[in-house]
Order: sequence, then C-alpha cells, then structure tokens
Amino acid sequence: MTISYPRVLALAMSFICATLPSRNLVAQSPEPVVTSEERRVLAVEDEYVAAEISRDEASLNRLVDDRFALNTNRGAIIGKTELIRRVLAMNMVGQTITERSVLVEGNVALIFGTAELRFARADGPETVSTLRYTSTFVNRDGQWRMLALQMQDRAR
Amino acid sequence: MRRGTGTFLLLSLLGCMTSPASRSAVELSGAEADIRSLENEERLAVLGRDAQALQRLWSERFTVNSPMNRIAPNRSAVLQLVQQGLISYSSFERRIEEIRIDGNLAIVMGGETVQAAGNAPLAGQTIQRRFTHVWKHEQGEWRLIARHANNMNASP
Repeated sequence: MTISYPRVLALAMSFICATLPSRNLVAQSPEPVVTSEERRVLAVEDEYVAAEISRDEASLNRLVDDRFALNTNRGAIIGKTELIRRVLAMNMVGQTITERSVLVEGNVALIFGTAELRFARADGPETVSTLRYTSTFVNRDGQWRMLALQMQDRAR
Repeated sequence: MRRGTGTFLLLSLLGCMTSPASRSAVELSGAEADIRSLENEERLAVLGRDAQALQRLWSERFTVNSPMNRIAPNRSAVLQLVQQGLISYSSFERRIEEIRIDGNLAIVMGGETVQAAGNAPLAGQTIQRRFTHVWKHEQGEWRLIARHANNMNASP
C-alpha cells in the first residue's frame, strides 16, 4: 500500500496536535492529560481522516456509525449513506488537523478541532478550506464510531 | 361492524401496551419528549441568563465549540461568559430538526435565530445559527455535555 505524502503529513500533524494542549481555550485550564481512551478515540478519528483522503469506502463504513448525523452548514441534516457518497465524490488530497481537544464521558467522546482540507483542481492549484468541527463518537462493544458531526468555515 | 372495529382497536391498544417492542417505542418517545422539554428550558435559561438553571442543565464538563472559533472547556467557563454578558440575547428561537436518542445519549440538531445583545459579539444583529447538542443521561438526569454552534449569517 502506497501512502501519499499529504496523507502522511496529515496523520503526523494529527498525532502531534493530539499530544499538544489546546491553544484556543477561553479559560486557562491545567494541561490536559491524554488518557489511553482519549488516544483510542483520536486514533479512530485519524483513521477516519485517512479513509476520507484515500476514499476508502470499507473503512468509512466501519468507522461511521449507522445512526450517524451530519449537521450541514446549509441547513440540512444528512445520514451515513449520504456522507459516504459525498466523501467518495470529493477530490480531497490532504487534511491537517490542529487545535484538537478531546473529552471522553463513558461511552461518549467529543473531539473539537480545526481541519484544513486541501482539494485538487483540474485547472489550477489546490484549494484550501479551513473548518471548525465537533465530532461525537460512541463506543459500541469496545469500538469507537463517529455518531455526529458539525463543521463550518472557520470565522475570520 | 363499528363494534368489531372498536374491539379490534382496543385489543390492538392492549397488545401495544404489553409488547416489549412497543414498550421501548413508548420509552423512546418519552425520552424524546424529555429532551424537547429540556431544550426549551435551556433556551429560556440562556435567554434569561439564569445561572442557577444553567448549572442544573449543563454538565460540569459542558464544552462549547463557539461561533467565535473558541472552545469553552467547562461549565464554569461558559457561565463566566454569561455573567460577562458575552452570551446575551434579547430574543432566542430554536428549531429542533432532529433528535436521536441512543441509550444514555441524545443528539439534537437544528437551527437558531438569536438577537445578540449586551457585550455579545454582533450585538444588535439577528443571527442565524446551526447547532448540535449532545445530552447524556447520568444519575437519573439528562445533562447537556456539549454544544457546537456556528453562525450562518448576521444581519442588522
């Protein structure tokens, strides 16, 4: 299996950011301690990002919960099938996650962060979209799966 | 004929009341009703800046991914923003479009229209938002553990 440079970069950045404290907190809080469960959730999100970039349908199906819901910026809510259809139709070539923090509450986990998505264009240079997101994961039988997602253009 | 139909309906109703599948449907709709009611309480508490009610409705670890690219990492931090007038509205409408109950977890998605006031960003403007709420049932109570909100537009 060949791993593209953007994908390696995105995964490396994700790993680095997962181990760094969040830099954008409203209130000062003690340096977060990343527990093993938090690491597991972050690893699942990294897998999801890699699956998006490589358009890996099988992995997307495994990582996204059947009851998944995405709250889109255009005022619609879509489910798992439509999400995967849209991801497979995208021409994303890379994704970098920053400002990421994670909260695990029993069988529920929340990840907050910023994603920089890079898209290929046939007639010019890559386009970049920077999004703020919150993803919700649920643990079913020991497996974390993405249950909900909301993201939007990062405000300037 | 009418009597036969009446008997059939009565038996169907009794059947529904005792079948496990229907019982869970009744419980599910009960949880949905609870969440709808709590969503309304929470909206009114934010509008009225009622710290006592918010303390009850929000989990201690309540985290907000705000429209201003910031993460408020716990209930104290968000309450501080309320006290400072940075979360302040003269009107606040919420339209719930989706409620998904999943065991001890509830995901609520929809739209909001707020009139920002006080020291809040965009004070005086009407703002359309998309939001996702994550509620968790713990120790017999539903508590809001996370909120993601983003502005769609702002108009004077």
